[in-house]
Amino acid sequence: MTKKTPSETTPKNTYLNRKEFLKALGIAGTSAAVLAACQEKPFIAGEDLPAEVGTAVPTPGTDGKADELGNTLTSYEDVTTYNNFYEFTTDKEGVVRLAKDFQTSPWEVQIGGLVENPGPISMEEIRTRYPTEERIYRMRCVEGWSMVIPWEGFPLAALLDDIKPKDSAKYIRFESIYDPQTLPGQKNRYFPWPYVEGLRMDEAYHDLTLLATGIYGEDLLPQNGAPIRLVVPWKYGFKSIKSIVKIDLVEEMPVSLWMESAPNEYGFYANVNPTVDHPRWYQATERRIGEFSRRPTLMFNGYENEVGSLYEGMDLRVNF
Amino acid sequence: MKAWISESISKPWRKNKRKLASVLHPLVHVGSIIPLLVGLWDFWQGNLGANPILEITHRSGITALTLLILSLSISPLRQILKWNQVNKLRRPLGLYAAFYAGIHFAIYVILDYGFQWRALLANSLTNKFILLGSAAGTILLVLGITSLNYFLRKMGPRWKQLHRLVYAAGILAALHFLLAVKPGVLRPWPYAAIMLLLLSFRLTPVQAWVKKTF
Repeated sequence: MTKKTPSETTPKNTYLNRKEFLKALGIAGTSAAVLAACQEKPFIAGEDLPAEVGTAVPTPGTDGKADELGNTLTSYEDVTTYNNFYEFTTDKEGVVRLAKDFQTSPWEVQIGGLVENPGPISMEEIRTRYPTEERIYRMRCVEGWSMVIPWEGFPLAALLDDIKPKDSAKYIRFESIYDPQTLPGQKNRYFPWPYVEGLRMDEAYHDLTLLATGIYGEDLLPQNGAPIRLVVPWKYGFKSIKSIVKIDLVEEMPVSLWMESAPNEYGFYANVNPTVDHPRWYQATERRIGEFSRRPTLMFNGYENEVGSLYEGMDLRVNF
Repeated sequence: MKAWISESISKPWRKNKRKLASVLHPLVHVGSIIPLLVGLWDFWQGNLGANPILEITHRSGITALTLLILSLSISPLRQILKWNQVNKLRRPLGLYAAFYAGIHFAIYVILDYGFQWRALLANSLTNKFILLGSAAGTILLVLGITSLNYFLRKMGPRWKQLHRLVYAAGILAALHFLLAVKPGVLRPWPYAAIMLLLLSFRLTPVQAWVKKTF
């Protein structure tokens, strides 16, 4: 793996890399204020939106309604009512009801492990320290369906630059909230709660890797992983861990909840890959929510140019 | 006292069990067609959620499995309650099970995969639960066709042998459901447990015990 020392990833470097990349995606370089003024109306047709639409920055060149490949956004209603969030229930359409009263404030994220700057960081601090930007990402669920979602977030790299991983850190480990009293799904003892996910350091530093705090220009809703979640768009959705309370930098590859409960089905990498079979779901095609016909699944979910080099020389069938 | 209670229950039961079976018979038809009507209504109203094709796949599959379970519970009911008249519910329940299994399969092939044979074949080869479900569906189709009186007459004793395949269909259908969900998802387990109970009722030692006791 590519080892990154803190000095190699100065904030400025990261910023420039990100700028370059975002330019390629067609999402950078325009002032938020100008755009906000240009487009007063929210860019979603959904009727459930509150009148105040936060600080959404529509995407230049795509009119705020599509990703860089021209895929239109999945409807707000579908994105906020069709959720895999087993902490509440395994029923995708039941999450929204059970998550309604979930308390996401106050909220702290514990930073620990192999870092120079450990300690808790509150959501208020996260919100003030890290300005968010809009990223429209495709999300491909391992179950064979997908969405196009406008996230509000900031690159995980920005946080890493502040907490300064030590040289010995090889992986980043995330943990979701554990509270069976408010999260009824955690009473299902089959799963080794809490939810755990992880990334290799080069994946964590990648410009696409986002810590999201908002969706459709609003704060994240509980069913979408409020108040803060990971979004790794080239990996199957389950990698994008929700409602994060703990981030540790570690030396050993973390064992995720899914790796532990079904190691033959879920690997650490979980990159979207139409050529690697899953024992239950067909991975060569997917159903985009809101569409009738299946569409082909793209290598690395269509982000191959951006992330393909991270896995050069790796056997992706073995490292699934 | 105990004898009196059992007598006070069993006497009206003996008198009315024929009647009850006659009442249940049309209810089987009505009840079996309701899931289809509800599905069509929800489609019409746009109530099938974010992933409607998956939703109707699930609904038709669960309906087929439920009806299969009901049809397999007729013989135990008949034996335990000495209720011969209930037997006439068995064929319609089995036929409706086959009907919903057919809808389930058609949704998968036509709506979900749009007749993409290569994808369908690849899916069947990698995902075992597809194969199990297809086998269960094939059995139900064959049994559905041969349930006509014409075949019953023509096949003689072989008809009964053939129709024992419904037990295999029951096992295959339950496994199909178990393997179709992620490990840790509990929804198939009650169905699998009831199926197991109903099928174990057919085992020789259990049958011997039933005949002795009831």
